[in-house]
Amino acid sequence: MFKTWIARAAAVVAIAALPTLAMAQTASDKERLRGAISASLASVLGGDSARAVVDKIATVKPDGAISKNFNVADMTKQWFGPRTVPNPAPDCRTTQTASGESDEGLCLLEVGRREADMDSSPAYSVLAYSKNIGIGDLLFARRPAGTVAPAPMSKLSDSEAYDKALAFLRAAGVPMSEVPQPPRGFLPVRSLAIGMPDDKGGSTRMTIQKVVSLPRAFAVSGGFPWLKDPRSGQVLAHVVAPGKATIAFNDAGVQFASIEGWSDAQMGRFESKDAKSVSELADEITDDLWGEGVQKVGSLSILISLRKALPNPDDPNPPQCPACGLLLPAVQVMVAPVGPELLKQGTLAPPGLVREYNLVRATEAAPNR
Amino acid sequence: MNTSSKHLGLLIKCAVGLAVSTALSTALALKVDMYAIGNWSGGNCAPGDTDTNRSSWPGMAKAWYDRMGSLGHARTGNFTDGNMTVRRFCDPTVHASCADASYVDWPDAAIVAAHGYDAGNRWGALMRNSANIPAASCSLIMGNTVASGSNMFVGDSNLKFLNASSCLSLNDNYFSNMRTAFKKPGASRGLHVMTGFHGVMWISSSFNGDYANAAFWGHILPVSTAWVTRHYKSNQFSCAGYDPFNWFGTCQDQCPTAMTVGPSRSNALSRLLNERYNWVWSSPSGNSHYAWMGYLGCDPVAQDGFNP
Repeated sequence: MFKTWIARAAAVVAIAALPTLAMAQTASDKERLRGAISASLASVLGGDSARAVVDKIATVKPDGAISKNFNVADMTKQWFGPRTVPNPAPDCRTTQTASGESDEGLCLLEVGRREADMDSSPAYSVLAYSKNIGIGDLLFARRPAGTVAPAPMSKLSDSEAYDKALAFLRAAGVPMSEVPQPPRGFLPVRSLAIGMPDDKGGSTRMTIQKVVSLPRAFAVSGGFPWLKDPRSGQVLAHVVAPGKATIAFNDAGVQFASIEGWSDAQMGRFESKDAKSVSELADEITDDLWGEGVQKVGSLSILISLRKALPNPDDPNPPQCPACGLLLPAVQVMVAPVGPELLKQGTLAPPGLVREYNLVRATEAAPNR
Repeated sequence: MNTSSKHLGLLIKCAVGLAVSTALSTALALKVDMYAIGNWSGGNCAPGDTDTNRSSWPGMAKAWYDRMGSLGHARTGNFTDGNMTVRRFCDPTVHASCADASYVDWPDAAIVAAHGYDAGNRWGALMRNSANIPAASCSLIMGNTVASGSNMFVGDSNLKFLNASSCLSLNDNYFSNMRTAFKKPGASRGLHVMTGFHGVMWISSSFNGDYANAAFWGHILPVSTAWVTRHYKSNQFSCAGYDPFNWFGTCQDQCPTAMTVGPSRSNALSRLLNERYNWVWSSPSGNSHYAWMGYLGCDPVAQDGFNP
């Protein structure tokens, strides 16, 4: 709870200048936090333990891998043009560090000069990708020479941007089975805009990019029947996985793209007998969030997910992907002390927190690191 | 959309012409500072109030700070917790004990991580310890005039790039007021670019990479674009358990924003679309106009959708 922090300043701005602060926390606050988490967990996990979710996730079989399809020659030709040979960074040829560990860094292919001259900025393009591509990072950006003038978009619709984003992912080797297809009418596209006030007291604004945000998820056979949209009845049939992609277009094409953490990690070993109970999870999550300073819940979201974990002796990285890690069933918890309602002026807004928790207990063979 | 095409055409022509006269300086190593609070309960602005603590926050700011260092800039100050007071942010025109020229207005680029709030259509941020500054002993307040109670005016000493890792630090209702904080009356220098968030931002150690990337990409793309691109998180928060992708409209976003000022609209706009950490333009010669960047309709926790 936030305490009201009353300032007695004489200035006329006192009300605007002073935030509302938290009330002193009590043991009952922690119980309330635990109660909210426990209720949300029971709803998301479909019972009093994570067993049903763990059993469902055990059926997930990743059927693709970015490392199988990524082709740097094709990407180079596509994004720099067939007649342009980019300059690779000197360390692009090494996939191991000096100590023999897998190199988790990026190889940079560049065209043009990143730095500016005194009075001009040269054209520059860069394609960066994980030296061990199974780690699943790929970045692309380009900028024209000189000073960029505002270029309002006029040609590309949201649906065209979405289709082009899918084509970009396909070209980069991302398995399309891992990109959940939204229902008709929903497109994960938003407009990046710039603006300024005009002479008439209004504002002038223009869209300069269409930005497509694509999550990664695996299909779950039969889905999670207890999790369905109350209006349409549609059952959640995916589990969120590590990895995301953002692709930004203007009328000239892709200006920026990032594929992050779309790794070749395979499912780790876990057994449903090790699934945690709601009570165990609620204690673990409450203690952790409480320790992080969260005592009031305004907005709480718990999502079933896969978490990327470190390998262990019984479940090592495969030779073809020496830095990939494992995927384990988990929940993502996102909690904010403030809720969806608008905050009044002068009310402090502590940031929300995002955390992940394993749904299976650590064992000697699978220590969940 | 409110686009006035006639106006727009003129603006674009002006922006190209003005850029040549504005872009004068270039890739030099910047001095960079970080100012982050993760623990408030040990201070006297929220004494004993562990509800305000966020231990992972300084790590996000440090990810930006360290990446700037690895890119050749000079890391000149990591100010985390300790005696963080408004003295480090306020201008001496507000109070004689204000010392921003020795702190946040001393480096070329800085990141500030602290709890934020809407201090009357301007950014307020909660300090760790109080200082004897009238009206806001525990808060930095940026936007509008000294007479209205604001205490932070930067860029008149040295600061060029200010990144606010703070909720409600650059809401869509602030832009007009923030303009005045970019350039102190009578100063020859001013702040070049400010970045922040519309509505609530989110903390996770897994977001450290976003801060490091915002630093890296701010050398390839404009600082504004690099910030908003790397911190935009679409439909990832407050989702119902059955709706992790917002297909049914239950999720909310993280909404980064950026703004610049200038003596004309086209000047402010050109700066917004071009200035980078390695292409530093000369100081804005005026602040009668401003330009902003953000994702239209971006819907964060605790604020309406972004719609300046």
